[in-house]
Amino acid sequence: MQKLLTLAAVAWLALPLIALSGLTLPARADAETVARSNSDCAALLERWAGDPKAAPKRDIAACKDQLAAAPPVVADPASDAPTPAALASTDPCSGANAGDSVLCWGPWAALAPAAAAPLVALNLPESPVDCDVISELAAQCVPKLEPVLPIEGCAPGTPCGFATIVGGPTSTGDPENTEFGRFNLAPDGTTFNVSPESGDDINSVPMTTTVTPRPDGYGNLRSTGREGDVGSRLIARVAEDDDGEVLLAADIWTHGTRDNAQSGYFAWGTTTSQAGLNALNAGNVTLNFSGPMSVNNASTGNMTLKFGSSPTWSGTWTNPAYSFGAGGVVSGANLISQPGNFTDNVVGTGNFVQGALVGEAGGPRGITHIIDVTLAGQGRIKDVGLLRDVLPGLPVGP
Amino acid sequence: MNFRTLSTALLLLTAGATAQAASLVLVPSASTVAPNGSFTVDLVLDATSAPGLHPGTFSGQILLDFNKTQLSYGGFAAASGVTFYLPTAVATNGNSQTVSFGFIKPGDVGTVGTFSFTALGAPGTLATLGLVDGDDFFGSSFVNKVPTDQRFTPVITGAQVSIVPLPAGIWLLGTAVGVLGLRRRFRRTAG
Repeated sequence: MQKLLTLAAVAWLALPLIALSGLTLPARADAETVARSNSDCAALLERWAGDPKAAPKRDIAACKDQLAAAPPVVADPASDAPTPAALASTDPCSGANAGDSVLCWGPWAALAPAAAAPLVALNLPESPVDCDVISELAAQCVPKLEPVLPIEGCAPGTPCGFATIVGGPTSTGDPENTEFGRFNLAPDGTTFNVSPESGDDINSVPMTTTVTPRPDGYGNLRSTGREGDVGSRLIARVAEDDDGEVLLAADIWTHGTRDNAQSGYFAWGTTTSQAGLNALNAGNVTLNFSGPMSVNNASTGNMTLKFGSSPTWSGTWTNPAYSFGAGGVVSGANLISQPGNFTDNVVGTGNFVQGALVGEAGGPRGITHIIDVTLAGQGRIKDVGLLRDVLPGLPVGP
Repeated sequence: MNFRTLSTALLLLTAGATAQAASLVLVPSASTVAPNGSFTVDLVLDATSAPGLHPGTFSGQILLDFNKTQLSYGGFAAASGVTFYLPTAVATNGNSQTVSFGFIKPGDVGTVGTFSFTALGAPGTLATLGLVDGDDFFGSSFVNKVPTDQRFTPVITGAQVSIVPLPAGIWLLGTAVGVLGLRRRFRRTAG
């Protein structure tokens, strides 16, 4: 009796498995083994052309392959029916009105930006991603990630500058209330533009300029302009070419009305051309740069760029009250720090040094850069500076 | 005693605070001049407390205004080493006349240059030489250019000139000295 009960229990437990196998196996056999005729495929594709959800994607693909491989049929001029090949190339979401269909994607006027961390939060990997380790994602794998730049980077051979931005005309403010932005200057010094990290661009009014010589090789630029209640002013050190065009510039910008002005410091130049970068990398050239910062000109920056197959940089910033070091990678004309390359007194998160190599060999060359670091016992420091190349055997100029 | 010590300390602190502010002044700040007499005033900068490296090189734009019926502008002579980034310009609006320029001066303390004037006003006139920042739109045009441009705001002070007639005694004394001189000359000739 006990044996009978045991057998009955086993049979009862096995029933769902038997039923499941009985249901699924024939279905798989249907999908994989049942072949459609060309006419069935043609009909299916016609239905799919009007309704993309009329059949599973794999069936549509199989039919397309089948019809594409079918021998050509002499077209009957009297018949309006589409040929198998035409049907095979049909895509319901590729027509002119595809965008009107709720079953198709787009077209979109613009790509919505992907959600991302705040700009200043760097998430650079310590080393490039190894594609072999993540073979399943090999198709999407990018062998070497481009560094994330807190401020928009600069393409080779293009004007490139950085600026601090504070409220009011004094150019200096609390680091927490100091913003960074890209800075651009007309080569004749008559206009400038500041693009803050957030908010609208700051565009100067047209200005008149004067440049007088100074003993360190720079020129003293003064540019002022007024349009109604709005004024703009630059007080800067500049390096010019023989035609009087500004090649490098740094120091003070101001713009706005008497009651509502913005100001800050800047460093600007034209990034080294791609040919120039290629030459530096091919020659494994090392360049040294030095100079005072602009917000706190008691700070002196020194940077070394090592070009080659994987260009890198390192630098130190010294001040009577502090010093710190950083290092990172060179990507094109851009420089960006890596979190693991700061000295130990750089604390907290979000620290970065970003810059760009400006100028060409044989001419005035420099580094325009910004720093945003928090130092132990010192607090947060934000600055911008133009460093000049240190030529062997020549004294370092400011 | 304690009160005196405290007072002295406060006085020194006040003097120190005053000394720390950069200044641009006309020297002398007050003077007297006879009608139709010429006189000069120096433009003096003290930028020891300005930001940046010292000795620095300082740059700024000034505007000097006065009543042209009281004073006649004779010119501005720059001190040694001082250069201009904006040339001297004279503008007139009614009786008000202004002199403006932008200068670059090496050294922390010293004379930027010297203004020359002639007094035109009647005796008893108090002529004012108003001195202001020439680019007051953004508050200050002054910077120390060493090693980079750093803005600062000096305390700017003008001057006053009293036009007064010379005292009668001066004329009498001058006449007497002249007469004595002539008398001595005649005696020598006669002898």
